[in-house]
Amino acid sequence: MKNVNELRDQLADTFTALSNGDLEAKTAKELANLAGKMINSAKVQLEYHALRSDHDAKITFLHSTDK
Amino acid sequence: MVALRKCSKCGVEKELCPEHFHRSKRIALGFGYTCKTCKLLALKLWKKANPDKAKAQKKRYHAKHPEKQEEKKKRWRANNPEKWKAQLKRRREARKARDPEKYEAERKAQKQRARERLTDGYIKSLMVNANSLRRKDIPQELVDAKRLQLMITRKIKELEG
Repeated sequence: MKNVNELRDQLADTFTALSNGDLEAKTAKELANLAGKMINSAKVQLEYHALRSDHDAKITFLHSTDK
Repeated sequence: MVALRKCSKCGVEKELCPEHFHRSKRIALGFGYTCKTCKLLALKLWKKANPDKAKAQKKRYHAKHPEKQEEKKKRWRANNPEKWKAQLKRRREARKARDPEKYEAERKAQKQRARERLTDGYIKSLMVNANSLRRKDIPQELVDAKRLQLMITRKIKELEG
């Protein structure tokens, strides 16, 4: 999961697998926890740029063109 | 040669074209006898003298062409975002002043709906900080990822009972 698009796809797959019963709740919990950490870390980067009023700054994780 | 016509109201001679006269199939040369300025002035005076009739006419027109009205509103909102924001604020405050209890109940219900549906606004409200990050700074992809994470967490809670 190198960027936010990959993270989103992974989370969508996890949700589908969890709903279908193909994935254990424990594993899904760990994945959701990890996703939370990644989202929070991206948020911290956004906050940093917002505090510096650097609104055009590129964050690799968020602004990757890979879909 | 440019054709001219004397307005039957103001008596001013004007060029016979759609800029100065309304079109009319029944009148010679395809334009009315009264110039646009006089027609519009007469209409304005009529509206002032007959406010009820004018209101009813407007209502009938809007009922007949709702899409035109909606388009007009949409255009105005896009062109006047600040005025639109102020108007919404005024309406909100008026609603609050009219019936504070009902207003609070509606607000609570709206918040509850947003929480259940995991709307963009709700997710952004979870992510913003009071001092630095603004809602518009959060990219949509991150909002989507957060939404999925919350959906998974809720599903887990549901499965675990």
